[in-house]
Amino acid sequence: MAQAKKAKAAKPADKVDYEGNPLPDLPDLSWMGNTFQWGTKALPERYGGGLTLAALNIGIYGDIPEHIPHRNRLPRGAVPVISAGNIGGYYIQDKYEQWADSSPYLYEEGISRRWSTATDIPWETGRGLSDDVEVAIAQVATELSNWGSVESEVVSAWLQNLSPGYHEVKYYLSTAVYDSARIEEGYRKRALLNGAGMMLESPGRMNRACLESYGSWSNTVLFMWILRGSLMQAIVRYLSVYGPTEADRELAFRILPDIMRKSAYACDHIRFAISKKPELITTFNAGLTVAEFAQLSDFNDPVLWEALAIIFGDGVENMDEGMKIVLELQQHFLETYISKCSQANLGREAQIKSGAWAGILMGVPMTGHATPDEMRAQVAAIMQKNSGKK
Amino acid sequence: MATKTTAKKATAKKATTKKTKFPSVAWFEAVATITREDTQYQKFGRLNAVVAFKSGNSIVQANFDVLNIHEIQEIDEDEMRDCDFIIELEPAQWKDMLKDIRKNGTASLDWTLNTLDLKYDEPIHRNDLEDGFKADLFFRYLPSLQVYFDNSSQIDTGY
Repeated sequence: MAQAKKAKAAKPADKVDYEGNPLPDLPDLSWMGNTFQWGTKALPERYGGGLTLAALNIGIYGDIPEHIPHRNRLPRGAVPVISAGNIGGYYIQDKYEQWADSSPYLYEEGISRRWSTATDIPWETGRGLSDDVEVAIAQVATELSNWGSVESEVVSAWLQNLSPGYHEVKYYLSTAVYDSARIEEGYRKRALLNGAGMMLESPGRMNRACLESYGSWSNTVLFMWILRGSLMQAIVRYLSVYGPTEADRELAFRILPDIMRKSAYACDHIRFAISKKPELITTFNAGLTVAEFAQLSDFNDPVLWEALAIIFGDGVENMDEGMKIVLELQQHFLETYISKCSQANLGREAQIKSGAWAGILMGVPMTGHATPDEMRAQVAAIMQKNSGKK
Repeated sequence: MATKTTAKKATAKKATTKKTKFPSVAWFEAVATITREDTQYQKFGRLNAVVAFKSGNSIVQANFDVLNIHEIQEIDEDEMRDCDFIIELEPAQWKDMLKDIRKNGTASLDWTLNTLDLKYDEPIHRNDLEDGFKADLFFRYLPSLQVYFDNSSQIDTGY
């Protein structure tokens, strides 16, 4: 009897969860008081913009800390619970390592300006080329598809390391993965459109530089979206004007804005990082010097340049004419790269204009056919000619 | 009723035959009115840029605000610094571009903003304070801006 009374008294404590913790009598709605701020009301934008990510950054939710202490999936502004613990990963916890003020805007822009290579490109116009030009565009398409693949994989790999506390960045980068995948699949479609198929993959040194830039996410951004991104921008721009068919021009034209959003994030992020840690200028410049060598090494492979010269010259017969446009493209790439570095508050102009790239700016294309000594001789001849003019 | 309909038609005909002078606020407003309703423009998605269009001494500014185009007004040279980017062509180049668009319904390859920007000695777009981030908005919004100018084929432009 005494035992029965004891058991009865202890009845509430018998309700335990699987870890033995006592459960409260239901309904327990005490959780409803757990918020850091009541009364937050985000307003949709006018003119069809809808409720945007940036519009949510109000009150305490607009406070974006310099450091996120939790290594778990705690959403910024949510109330932490002890049981969530630290689950590892998410080691990039500082704002300067990933942030760009433009992230929420670029995310909305990426979502709003989405498109489909399947239905938005007039593929039926991409036919009727001579065999040599068809093979050449398939070669360029193969390399661009390859670069897009590398981009989407590199960003995907980094995403798990970036703290969810800066969700705007992660959201934007998710769209960037999609944008890069669109480059990959769009140019794969182009290569397979008319029978040439996938050709030679790119030499891969710059791909490796992007894939193996373990130092920091910022380094990856510099290599992939400022250095190689400038080259991709230049090639796509030239294809959007000099592409051999309407389908080729339209594909490049539609990809260009996608590339430019990545460039915008990259420049904005690097500028922000430097504003917080000015000493990073040295680190970033050292990293770029190494990456530029990888890019230079890829430049010495003649395949891409020959393919572009055939496209721009409208056939193998007129490759020499096409190569003049290739030189313009290479110069455009370097000018774009220097400009992006300036946007990011990194000065690379002196290095580019005095180093191995200088020959291109002086009018000697890098085609993979000339030895360094031959290129130096060509540059010397141009300098002599110019001094003679003066 | 019949008379009223006829009168309406006559007014409409008169309105379509009246030339709208380029460059002018009225011209940019007329193209904006068409573009706001353009489903292709809407499909291309949101944009956010204050753009100045310069032709000779005339400068007209327009705010491309999400899917709206508004605040179209003439501005002075020193106000261009407040614009995200400027598109500048010589008056004769604007004229040739718009004539090409009027003739073909859309810009032919040689007369797209993209081609002109690449092929001319100097790009046709810039930011007056050399802010590359803002100048690059030109490339992010090129498809939308091209639709805007292509829609000028629907109005009778005078010069």
